[in-house]
Amino acid sequence: MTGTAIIPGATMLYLTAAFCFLLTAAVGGPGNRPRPAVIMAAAGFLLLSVHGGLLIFSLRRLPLVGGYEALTILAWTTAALLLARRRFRNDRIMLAVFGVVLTLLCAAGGLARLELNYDYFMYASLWAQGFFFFKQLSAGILLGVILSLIASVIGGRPEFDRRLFMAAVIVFLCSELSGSIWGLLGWGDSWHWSANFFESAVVFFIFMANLHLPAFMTRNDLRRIPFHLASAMIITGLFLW
Amino acid sequence: MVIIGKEPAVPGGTDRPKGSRTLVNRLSSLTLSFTLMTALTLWMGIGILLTYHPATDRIIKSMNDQLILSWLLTATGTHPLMSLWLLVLLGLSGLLLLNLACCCLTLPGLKIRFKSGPRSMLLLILHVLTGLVMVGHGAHMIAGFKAADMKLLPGKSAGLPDGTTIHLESVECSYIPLLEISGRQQRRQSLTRDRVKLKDNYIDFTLQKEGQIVDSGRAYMLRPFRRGAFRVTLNRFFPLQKSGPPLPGRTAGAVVTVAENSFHELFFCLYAAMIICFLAYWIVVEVEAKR
Repeated sequence: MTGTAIIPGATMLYLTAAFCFLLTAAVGGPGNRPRPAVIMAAAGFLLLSVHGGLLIFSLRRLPLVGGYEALTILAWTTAALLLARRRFRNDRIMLAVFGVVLTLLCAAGGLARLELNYDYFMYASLWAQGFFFFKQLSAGILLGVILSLIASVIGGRPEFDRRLFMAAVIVFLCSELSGSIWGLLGWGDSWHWSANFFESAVVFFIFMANLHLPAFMTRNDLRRIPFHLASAMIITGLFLW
Repeated sequence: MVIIGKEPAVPGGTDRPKGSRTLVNRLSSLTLSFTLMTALTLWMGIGILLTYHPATDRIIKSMNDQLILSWLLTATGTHPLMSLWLLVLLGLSGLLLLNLACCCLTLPGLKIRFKSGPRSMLLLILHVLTGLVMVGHGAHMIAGFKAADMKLLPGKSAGLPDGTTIHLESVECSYIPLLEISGRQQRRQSLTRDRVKLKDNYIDFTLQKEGQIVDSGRAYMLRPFRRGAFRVTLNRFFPLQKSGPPLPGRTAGAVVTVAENSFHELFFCLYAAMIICFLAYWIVVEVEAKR
């Protein structure tokens, strides 16, 4: 079943939010004042929050995986980061980049007829929900890292938001802990040798490598920035896949 | 060039001047950490590729049936390639642990401990906890015993590595017709929260030693039977007949995992402590950046 079919007014909420973020991008562009753009972004965030609340109410659980649910978390987290971080909301290029991507995400949510995840009985476990939810949340934070990095490159001052990246790592670790407890309760062991385990390990070591760059990497922007960008994109891709 | 929230380095992890390069200093270098993490990423990536090949995937799955140390002792001759892959993985992980230990023990680490503020202290504790989590992972692989994915029918028994026998007394499965749906994806999609209630699905079993019942219990889905470090986990049910009309009173078989491992709880506590410490460190860094 598609997400827009079960949530009353979901299409309208998403498309109105898309319009708000389009205005954010347009108003926040070069030569304009950021404040109206921030107000538009706040309006879009409010609409996404209403939609997220309705989704949780309809599903009787957190949004987890599957196109519609993942997109809901991704869009909400990205909009929240835009508003929460002063550096983002005071920068016109940031507002423009975030605005464009959020417009696309919201338009996809309203128009693309994305499917909801089926209500698997294992989701009765909060640990199972935590495993999937935190992973998508981490992907949302990483999307914020990617967008801020791209915006800073466009602005001519490449900046890697290490603190935001660390927040994504913490949320990812919460997902792993939830998954381990779920695994122990459901399969008798906290982890299994499997493609999923290897994938999690790959993500963990990519995260860690980004936090432990040696001097030969940190001294050179041409090595460091593409490495951070590629890492964040690979992890986000793996989370959403 | 700006790095938001840039760290000086991990404790002891700075690239030191050439004059002071002892073995311990070399082992604690950030370059080594980065190299090992990159190597482990690639090695785990190879692991993902190996799961796509049916032959190696089967071997990887068999690694779950017992403790990895037991598997390694028996499989070195039969699966040399996979054993080699695993040994390299363990070797790289061991080196990373050594690198971490050297980082925490060398002089810069001690300096941080005695003269720096909460930020450096938290960073050091975080690294110590990460090391303990890694040790916990290692201990988990060799401690106790594990007999995974045992298919049991009601009234049948299976031997365990510790000499005990598990006897499946009865199976209570409320969704047997759903188990008989053909196609894994269709079957999985039919197992919804409305149809499958966790508290209505369980197994009753006894544990016997030398013909004597030593214990008995019930294990639910997602609620294993526990006696100290000993666990009986109900993984899933399987249908006794794949087709035909629904029959009243029919039953299902159960797939169970029996394991004894006293490190699980400790491991989870350490992992949670590591996350809390990381969070505290992140908050300190955020607050410092806002000042």
